[in-house]
Amino acid sequence: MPQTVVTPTLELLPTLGVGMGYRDPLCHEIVQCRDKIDFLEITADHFLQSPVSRWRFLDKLCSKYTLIPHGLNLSLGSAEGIHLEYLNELVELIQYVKPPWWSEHIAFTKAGEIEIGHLSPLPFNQASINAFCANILEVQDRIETPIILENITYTVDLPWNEMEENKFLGELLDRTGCGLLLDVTNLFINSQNHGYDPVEFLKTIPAERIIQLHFVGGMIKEGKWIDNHSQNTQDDIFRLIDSVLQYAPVKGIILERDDNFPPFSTLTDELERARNLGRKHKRWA
Amino acid sequence: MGLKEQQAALAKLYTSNSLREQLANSALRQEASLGLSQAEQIKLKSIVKGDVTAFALSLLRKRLAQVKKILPGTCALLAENLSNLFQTFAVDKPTTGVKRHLIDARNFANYLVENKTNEIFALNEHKAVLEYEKTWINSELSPLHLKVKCFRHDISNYTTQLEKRVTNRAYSGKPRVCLWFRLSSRHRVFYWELFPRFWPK
Repeated sequence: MPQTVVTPTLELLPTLGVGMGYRDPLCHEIVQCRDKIDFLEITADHFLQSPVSRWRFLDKLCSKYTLIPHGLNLSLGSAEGIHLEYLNELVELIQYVKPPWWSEHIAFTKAGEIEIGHLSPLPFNQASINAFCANILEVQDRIETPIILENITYTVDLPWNEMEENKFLGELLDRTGCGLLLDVTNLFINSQNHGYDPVEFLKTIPAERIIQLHFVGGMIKEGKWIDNHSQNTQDDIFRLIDSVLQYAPVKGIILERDDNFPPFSTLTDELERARNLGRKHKRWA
Repeated sequence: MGLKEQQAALAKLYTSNSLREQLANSALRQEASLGLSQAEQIKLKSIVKGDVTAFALSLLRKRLAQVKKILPGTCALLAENLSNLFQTFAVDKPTTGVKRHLIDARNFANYLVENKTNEIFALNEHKAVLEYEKTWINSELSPLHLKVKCFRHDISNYTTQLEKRVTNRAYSGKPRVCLWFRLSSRHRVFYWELFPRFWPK
């Protein structure tokens, strides 16, 4: 069984405030609106194996914002090990950007030589936690910058589940020693699709490990909530952010809009609303 | 069944329509039984038509959304045929590599070229859009690349109109010589488009 990782000093991570995921179609507005965006999250995949000119652009973003790389395809949950080609590229990006932390998902994206191309939920069992811990050790051997882990949505109740999602998440965080990137929208969607109270769920996971939040609007398709990252944020999700901020030492919040972009002012209004919630709970000034 | 085998079975089910159908119809052949025990097959069978298929379809939708960004003109030409054509192409072909969306788009473009029955690309100016966007992808995927292509009309402008869904699209008959050049994987693709200043109408 892999040994438990020593908990890094999560409380020493800097407070970043409220920002958004960098997206090329919003490039101009993002560069112009420094006063409305506290920091940026960059999707690692959009910069890996890119030409030098793309990295020069990263320099420009770095000069204005703190950047947090966000990985999609490391496949931290794979029993056969992580995606090594992806890790090699990621190491280079993180060394270049020098972020205070970076993030990846609690998921697997490849298995049996197949790249699924999608964040696939792990069976909620001890074998998944063991495999995840072993992979985290391998990643931390290459990347010293603290990694935080993001919860994903799941629609499939796998036959190999041995525990509830909250117990799985709590044990995974304890064993890896990592912080949590709580995707509030994913939590809301899972609670709706699987019929539980998201606030009660929050009380059962280690609050002190919640470092960053993601949020964006969800939508209902064929009777189920989905996270297509293309809707304005619903009031229910803001209420859930409020509940999280009440007791978790959140350092940063990112609006994760990928598509169907509204006027930029709609996005900055959502940032301001989240920022005010953080102020209300004294997470930042 | 260990985690490794569980994940391999799930990956196959998420990316193979034929395996999902076999499992749903209890027709899983011995050699393709994914290593599932009888009990696991029964449990998975109960969710394969609903949740597993829904997950697989959302995977296809995400792939298609990326391909639309890489082949905007081609996808605009395909219009309502796009979803079905992409599904037929992609249904049993998972993506691979860090640049998997580019590779996926290139494979889809090749599939369209090979699909002789596709009447959409019978028109020369439509065939040119596909060729033009395919050359862009090949340039992005090759570390060292030099390609020169001639087109009978202002191909880049026409493709942009398609991308922006301009309804009354028009193109000038001035021929174009397009040149793609990439020195290495660390350099961007350089692109030049040459055309005669004067050309009879």
